[in-house]
Amino acid sequence: MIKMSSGFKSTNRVKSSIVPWVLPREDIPINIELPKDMDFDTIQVKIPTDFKFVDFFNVGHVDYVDNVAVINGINRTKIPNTPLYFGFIVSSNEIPTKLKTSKRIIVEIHSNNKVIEKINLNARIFRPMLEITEIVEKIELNDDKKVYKVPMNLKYIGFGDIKLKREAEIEGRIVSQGQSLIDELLRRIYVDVQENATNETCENRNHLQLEEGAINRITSEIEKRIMEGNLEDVIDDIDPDFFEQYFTSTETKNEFLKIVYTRLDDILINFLTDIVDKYPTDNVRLQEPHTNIYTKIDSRIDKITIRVLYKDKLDNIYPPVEIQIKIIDQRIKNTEASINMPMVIKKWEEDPFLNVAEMEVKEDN
Amino acid sequence: MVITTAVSASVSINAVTEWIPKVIDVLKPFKPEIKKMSINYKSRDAEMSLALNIPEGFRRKFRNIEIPRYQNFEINYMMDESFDEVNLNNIISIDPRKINIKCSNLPASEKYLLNLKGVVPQIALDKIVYVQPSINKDRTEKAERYWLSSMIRDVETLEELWDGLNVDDVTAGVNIGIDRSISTKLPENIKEGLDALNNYAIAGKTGDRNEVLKAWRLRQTKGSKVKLKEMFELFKTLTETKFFSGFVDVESPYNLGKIENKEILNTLPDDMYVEALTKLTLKQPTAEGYMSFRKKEYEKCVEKKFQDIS
Repeated sequence: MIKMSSGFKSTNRVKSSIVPWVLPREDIPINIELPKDMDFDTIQVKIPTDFKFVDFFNVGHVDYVDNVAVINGINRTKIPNTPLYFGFIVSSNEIPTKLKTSKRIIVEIHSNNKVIEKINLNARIFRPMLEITEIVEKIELNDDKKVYKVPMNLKYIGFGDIKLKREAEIEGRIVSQGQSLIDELLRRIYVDVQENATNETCENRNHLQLEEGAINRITSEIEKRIMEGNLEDVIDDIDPDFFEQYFTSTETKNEFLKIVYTRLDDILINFLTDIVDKYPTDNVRLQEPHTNIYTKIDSRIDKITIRVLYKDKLDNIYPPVEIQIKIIDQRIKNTEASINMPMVIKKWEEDPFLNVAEMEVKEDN
Repeated sequence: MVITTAVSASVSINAVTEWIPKVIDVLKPFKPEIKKMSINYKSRDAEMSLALNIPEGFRRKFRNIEIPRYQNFEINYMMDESFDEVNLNNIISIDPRKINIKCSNLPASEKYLLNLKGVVPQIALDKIVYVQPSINKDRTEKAERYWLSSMIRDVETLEELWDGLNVDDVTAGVNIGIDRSISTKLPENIKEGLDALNNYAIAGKTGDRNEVLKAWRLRQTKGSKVKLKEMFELFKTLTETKFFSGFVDVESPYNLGKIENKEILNTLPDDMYVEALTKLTLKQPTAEGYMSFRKKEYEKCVEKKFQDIS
């Protein structure tokens, strides 16, 4: 069992507790226990200028002067052996630039215009940071290729789980798209049917038993996606009527659902490979593991902007990491064809903070 | 700077606390004494026991006592001074706004214990108790941990109403992600198999017939080695409450509560929802502690179980 350490502090007379770590803007609960017989007039709580008060517990009236709160009285109970305590919640307003910061919160207990007790507490804020450590400098387009990989190496440092999304932009237009599981599945059905390889999955597989609700959820997701249309964005050279023809009557629809049903194993495998791909390191979750740039590129385009966006578990959005890649267009014939550029993360490095509860953090006021 | 929430704690707790003084006021002639008030945070069930003095003279004088009703609060039971339960059939009548106690029909006794029971709305509970688990975990070499913090918001107002307030099962819920723990421990042959299956899908995207056929062949050889049935059965085991609870610790004054797999298909590993429960009373109005997930140990176990099926 891990023991609480830096979370709790106490002097002879006053016990105080502040949580040992938070993300930027996360609520920081603090509680303070005083001796039952302590007499005082007011309690002053001073927070850093970039903090705010969120709530107070078990106190009387509270007055505010900028970043100082003056508490006039604590609620007491008449029951013997019950503690005299109060609590409050504060939070930081900004996302710090440093990966770890410690901000001082001062609680002073006043009696007859004198400070009779002073408690210093430290709010310890930790944040994540992402870096692109390596990325291809240029992409040369030619008539022979339709797929150009965009490899990159990324590095995670600091604290806090993040959700990461990659994006590509050409002249202010977002040209990248995540590949959803359902799109993958439709693509596979399409390719299978085109290759006449349809039957092998049905007959040779040992089918899994899924609860009925799960099958219904998947099939309705597929139908929704087909109805949405724009499948040509995800499946190259698709015959636009291919999927729609299955939805012209109940009979053909059932036929299609049968094809889907025979691929439930594949769907689960897809979910599973998705999990493997989704978590490249302990702290990072890729929102769209397979992100592609899929677009027509005009011959006058000479660069593409790659952007890595990320947010933490509190949905704090951090400044994105941006980089530009040169496009050298050597195509003569196929200038109108769509180009497919899967953004591939080749290498992940991480240097996460471990054991932040015990970590030394220099005060930063 | 204006903060509206800061001073509100002691102004008005909620409808429950407004209802209780009304009840006490109605029962004033019977010198009501609150014996117990307990709320279960998780189920939101609340129970209040009141000792009432109703001597014979009173019973004759007050033919009826009318207690105002609050939401679904009902009389649970009534006892006389010898702790015999009073048969309420001829004594209680209920209408939408009040509960009537017919005193003249009460059995002979000086004192009675009246027990009221009902469900408190979540919003009311949130005004009585504050609960917060850390949003992000702290990692150590062996484990992941979350801090837990709970407090009674205002003891004085509560004490005025209930001498012996208990809030049981104050619940801090944490989502522990296990998908990565499982995916990184997949044996190489399963990973290769999954890759083969996945590459086949990607090859389809290229529209290159040779690529597709190559990927298809790999799928037939490596992909077929993936023992799906056994694997998904194993996922079920790894996310079962009984198994998973063996890797979670909660520090006193918290106890381990409910554990469940959050994945929608209930088939694949995702987040495990784990609850830590504590009890807050006027004597112990705050509770702090850690919940920790012994991740290394769990992963070792996952690895071994995968080896058994590969």
